Amino acid sequence: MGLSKDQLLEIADKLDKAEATCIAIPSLVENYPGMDEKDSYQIQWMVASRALRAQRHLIGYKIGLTSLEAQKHFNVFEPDYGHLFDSMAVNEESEIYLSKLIQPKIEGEMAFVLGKDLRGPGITLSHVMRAVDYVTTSFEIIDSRIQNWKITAKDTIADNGSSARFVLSGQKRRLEGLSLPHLGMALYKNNEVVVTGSGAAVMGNPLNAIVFLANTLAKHDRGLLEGQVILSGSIGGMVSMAHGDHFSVEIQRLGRVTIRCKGKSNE
Amino acid sequence: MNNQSIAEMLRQALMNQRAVPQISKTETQFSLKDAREVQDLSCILAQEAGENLAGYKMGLTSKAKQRDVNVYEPIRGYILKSFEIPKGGTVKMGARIHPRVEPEVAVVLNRELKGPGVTLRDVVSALEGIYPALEIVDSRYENFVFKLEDVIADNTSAAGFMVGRVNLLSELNDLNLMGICVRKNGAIVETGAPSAVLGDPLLSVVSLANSLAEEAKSILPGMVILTGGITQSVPFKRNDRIEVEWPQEVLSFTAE
Repeated sequence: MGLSKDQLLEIADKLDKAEATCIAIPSLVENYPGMDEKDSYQIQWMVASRALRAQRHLIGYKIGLTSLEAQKHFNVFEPDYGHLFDSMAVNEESEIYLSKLIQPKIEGEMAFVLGKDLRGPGITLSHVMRAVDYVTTSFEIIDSRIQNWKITAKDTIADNGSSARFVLSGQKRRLEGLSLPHLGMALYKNNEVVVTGSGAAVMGNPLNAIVFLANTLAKHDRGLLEGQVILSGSIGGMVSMAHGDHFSVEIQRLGRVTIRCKGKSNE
Repeated sequence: MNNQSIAEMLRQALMNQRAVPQISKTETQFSLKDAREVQDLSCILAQEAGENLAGYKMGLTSKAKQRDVNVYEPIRGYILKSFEIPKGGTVKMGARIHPRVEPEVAVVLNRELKGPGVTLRDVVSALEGIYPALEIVDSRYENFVFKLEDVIADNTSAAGFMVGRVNLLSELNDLNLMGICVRKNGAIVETGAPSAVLGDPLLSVVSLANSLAEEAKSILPGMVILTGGITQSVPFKRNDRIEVEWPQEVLSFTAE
């Protein structure tokens, strides 16, 4: 079926406005029953193109729905992705301003920075291993622009993978000698371990998520560029955030990231 | 029912693989003290029947689980030598009710550790070995539903364990962030790291030594201490293949 161009533009407007005003909008799939996954990505790209026209810089991509559990929950068989802009980057050891967000949640991830361009189709694990410059620990703060996180895969794809902010550790590690699936992660909320996991949670190996991303972008004649950041997918679960909370995440051998939360979100 | 009869009923439930109703439903006065007494009595019954104590297991080792039941310390159960499953072996479903598996760190000490007042330093200096392990829990209550008193009386659902052969003692500094995953029939169903257990599974041993001291008991050298689940427990059925994958070793079994 699919939506008309006007409808796609209308949804892109609504999502743009929701992010700017921090007022969530109702479920997209309920209001636009004809919407399919292709529409969702088109909406995401419309919003991303506007960001580029507004002089924001594309830093890289995030990959989501990378665990079997998440895919089962959303009834999908592959991950999704979203765009990362410079406006979403937050420095480690600094503050996340919740007043600019709606209903934020935080997750620990492995982040990769490319040392070479990576352009599909036909990208395999070995291409990815050669293209990665370094891996590091990161936080992703996700924040649905859809009311009450009542989302389907189509909603979150249109909504840029629900991505909102990200924080990278300043520590760089080369891939040589690392077995990413076997690196454990602990996420601390106010000094208490609240989530643990391992790299294996992300498609068995987080590098598999980059293979997916490169080949999926290639279908739309797009590639990954040297220097771009890729958040490879949540390890373990997500945790809600409130004023005064501080969070740390540590991944074995990859370092630790800490941030503090300030202000009240707009839920 | 008095505590001795309850202990006998739970021992029978373990032996016959038949679930029983929650104690707290019928015995409205059943206290935590009663629950601990029932657990001790069932341990004596097992030993009178010729069983040998292998060690202890810890539960409620995450702050989230503690908040759920409003109890801010771990709980313990005992494990019997007959609970041990050889590495790569089979778990007989005929001898289970509704089993689940969880990855754990197993600790063995080389000298007696007797509380009160045991510290993390005491545990570190008494370490003989730290091993990848898994625990099988199998509540003797219908539908795996229970209150805190019930589960303590039921020996904290203890039902089986497997201990690996790789001693991680030389990698102690890396232990808390070792990545562990549980596979069911090849698919990754859980991942975690030992810091899920009180931030450091050795703190679970501290807690055990000090709680045993309240009953003038101690951790003996050579005992196996299961420090607490690293992930959510994973239910399994007949013909399921379970693998608990550590960086150093894979522990696996098939349910038959």
